[in-house]
Amino acid sequence: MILFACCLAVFLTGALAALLPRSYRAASAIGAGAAMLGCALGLVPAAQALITPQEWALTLAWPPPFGLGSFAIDGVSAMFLVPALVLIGLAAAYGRGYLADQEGRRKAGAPWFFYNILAAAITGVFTARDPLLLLLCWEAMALSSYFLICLEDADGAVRRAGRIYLVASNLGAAFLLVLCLLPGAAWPPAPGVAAFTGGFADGSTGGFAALPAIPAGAVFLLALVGFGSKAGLAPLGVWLPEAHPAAPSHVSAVLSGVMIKTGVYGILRVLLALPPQPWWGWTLIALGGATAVLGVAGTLGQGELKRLLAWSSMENAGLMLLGLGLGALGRAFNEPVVAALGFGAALVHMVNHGVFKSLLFLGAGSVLHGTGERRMDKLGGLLGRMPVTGATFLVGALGICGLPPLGGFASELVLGLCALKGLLLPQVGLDIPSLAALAALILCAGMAAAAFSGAFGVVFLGAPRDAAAQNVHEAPAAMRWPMLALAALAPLLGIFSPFVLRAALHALAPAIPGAEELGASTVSALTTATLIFGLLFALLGGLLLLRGRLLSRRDVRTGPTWDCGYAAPTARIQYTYSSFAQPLAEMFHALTGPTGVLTRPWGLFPARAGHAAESEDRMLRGFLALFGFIDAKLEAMHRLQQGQVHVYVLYIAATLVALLAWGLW
Amino acid sequence: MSAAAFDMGALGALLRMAAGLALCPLLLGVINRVKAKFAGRQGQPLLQTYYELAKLLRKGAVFSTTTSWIFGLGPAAGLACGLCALALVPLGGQPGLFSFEGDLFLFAGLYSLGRFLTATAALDTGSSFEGMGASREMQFAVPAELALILGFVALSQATGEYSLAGILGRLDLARWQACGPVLALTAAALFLVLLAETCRIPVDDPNTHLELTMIHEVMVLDHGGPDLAFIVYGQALKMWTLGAVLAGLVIPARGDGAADVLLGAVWGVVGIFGLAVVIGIVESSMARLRLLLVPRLLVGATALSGLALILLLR
Repeated sequence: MILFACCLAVFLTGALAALLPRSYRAASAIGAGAAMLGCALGLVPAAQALITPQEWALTLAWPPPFGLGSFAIDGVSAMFLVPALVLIGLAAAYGRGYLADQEGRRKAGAPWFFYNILAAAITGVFTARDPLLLLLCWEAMALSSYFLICLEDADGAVRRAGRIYLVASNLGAAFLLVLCLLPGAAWPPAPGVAAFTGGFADGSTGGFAALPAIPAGAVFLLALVGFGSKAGLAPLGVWLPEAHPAAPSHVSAVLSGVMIKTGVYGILRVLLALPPQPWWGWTLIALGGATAVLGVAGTLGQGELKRLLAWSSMENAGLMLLGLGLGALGRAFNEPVVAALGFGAALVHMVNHGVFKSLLFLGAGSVLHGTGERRMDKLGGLLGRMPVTGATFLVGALGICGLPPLGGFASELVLGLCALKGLLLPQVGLDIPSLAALAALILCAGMAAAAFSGAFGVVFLGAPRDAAAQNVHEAPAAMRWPMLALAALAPLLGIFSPFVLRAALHALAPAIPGAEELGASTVSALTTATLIFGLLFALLGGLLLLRGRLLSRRDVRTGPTWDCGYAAPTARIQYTYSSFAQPLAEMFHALTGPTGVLTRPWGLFPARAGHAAESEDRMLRGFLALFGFIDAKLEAMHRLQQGQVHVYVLYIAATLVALLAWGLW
Repeated sequence: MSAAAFDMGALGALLRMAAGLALCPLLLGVINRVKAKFAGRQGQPLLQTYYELAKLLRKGAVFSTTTSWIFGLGPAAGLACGLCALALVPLGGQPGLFSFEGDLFLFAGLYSLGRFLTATAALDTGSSFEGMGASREMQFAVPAELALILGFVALSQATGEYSLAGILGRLDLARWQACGPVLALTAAALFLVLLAETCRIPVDDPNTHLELTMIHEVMVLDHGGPDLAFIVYGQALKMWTLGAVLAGLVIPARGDGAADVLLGAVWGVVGIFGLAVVIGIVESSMARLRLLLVPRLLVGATALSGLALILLLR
């Protein structure tokens, strides 16, 4: 408990202390050091809560108003908090190296101030136990991340991305405001504990009875929109592909690896606290499936590496929502196996995705740092020049595609198995949603594999396509070791996946009685799967040894790549990412939008031909059109805004008179 | 289950694996012999693939200066994945070495991993041909994987089991009588997946010699020596493994007695070679599809699996 208080205190004092020094290096050392120290301190109580989930509250001797001091870590909080703190700490270490070359261009105080505030706010969101505190931490998180995204504010595109993020974030928070400030609101929302007494149009008093269906549904919808917009739920997640690429890479890693999980956390809390209706699950599965498929289709149309990663975050958020949807259906239909496995799959996938996506963003940051080039089609052959970045990026890519033997496979296995069990249960209303979830999962896995094999291959393999990819330097040691640490976590998450699932089930046990026994067969399935992972590693090692021995006594030469007899190949004729992904993007044309503009050679002496590939974000365009429409329709209201004080006084007087009349009548 | 029974089961599974390891290159020989008969040719020896593997393993290699360690990782990882998948697959209704609920996802995931690393090894050469092959392979894998898993899910629903061994162990004659159309649709879908995954006509022509029209062959243009041996053997193993699933589905010979176990394995092997004959007949009687039509064929396979599932929904 004292350690947790120290953790928050270190974040906050670190934030202020980073502003003090004049020297760039001192400020970044203080800022990054405070973030890492705070994470290390917070990890101890979080890990304790993971092993023995016990609710304890940080109660102060002099309680602040509105109960703002009530923090607690239970199992669910701990499941989110442990990976969050690990990732925030490692990203801070990386960020110090990443921002080192900014010395002289700007001060180090502000980025580290906001980074530490973000760390404290995220810790607060995962541990807050009353609605007002949650809202406070939520807003602190939204604002500090906005300032971090806009670090490169000289760039117009970054400012635009920041603005989109801020608008989306505030619109989402508006729904949370209603959720958290309804009369008698509690966090997590508790059924039957004086929640929502009175104040409803239908005159229900609530009291200590269970919530009637409509208000509980309203709470769910508010949470879905409010938290879902942060989680990247389609179509509310339009900010995600804009903000992630604009932010500095270590911040992108935290945004994608940790912050979007706060949305999943919020929805999970609501689903665990209230008795779900079947339509909650159907809604979550429909929206989650749409988010996942749209997200993965979006990765195919991207030209920039970080933008591709951002779309992939959307896909994975969709997969987590599918898990939540299956869990909600399991609870609604009283099928505890599906409930335990669905929520468990979402939790395990949250952990895995956090590690893999942070690793990938750090790798993309190193590429950007080393080459100064964002577009994949200008890069190539980086593996030889950036061996650590390349190898760790490959690990992240394999993990994010859900391939064995890494952790990503374990979470997709649990999700798939949960859907399969849901399908096989004789329960109308559960089978078709389960089937849809399963199909979306498999479709996403295949498309993610296509996208990431292409992205890794185009950026790191082959020959450099442009000068930017030739004069490259490997990331400095400060950036390398966080990537190596995360890459080492990836196979560990695969081998220890039964433990991760067991921890998740343990965390769920208070809400779903007997969750551990219900998931025991899946835990043992994962244990058998890890045996096969071991077999796979052994066979791979054996085959590589065999290959080395066979080749050691042979004539091994080097030469040019087989060029089919073409005399003058150049690096420009290699497949680019857009050409690699084009056939698949064409198959999902309806989702990705127009992928290219072809300028055909024309005339007797054709001079120019070209193909420009650009995929547009249709959701964002839709929102911009909607906002434009609202703006145009509200133009008439402009007449009310005179800018003259006496007119406004007239408005006030008129309102008062109207209210008076209404009151008297 | 007693320790002795477990040992017998594990021993049987190891023997079935050994049969697959030893016999899988023969499948390619059978297909080629069938094609030769149809064309009125003598054809290459049945054991030609063994000779080729032996030759490749004795050779050196020429590596492109563009390549990195990924290039050598691809073939070895592809074969390792194939071997692990062989350890999962039942033969003739008898379980593989490992079996657990949801192993069908691992089965598909292992092939997906092998494909991922083969495609990256192809991109490692910097050749535009190999990039083309990798792009096509990854594209076709999306509907093929969907069809494969949905097919497994349909079988899972037809039998009420969650593991490959459980599913294929319960597909006996009674099950065929109870839900024959479902199983037939699934078998058709799995056959199309098998043709795509093992790069046979009508999806891919293993004998083509024009790089522009190749899919799998063009990805491995630069591999030679032991690497190519791993790839060729891995491909044969993949045909064996997927063939074992299909043979187990189509031939409903099941039983628990010692004689039944042996008979089931024999039926499984016979089924796989029968499948090779069918593939040879298909290859002799039709041409490769246009590339743009291949996704439609695979989406059709997905539709067959989906139809099987819809038939089972209550």
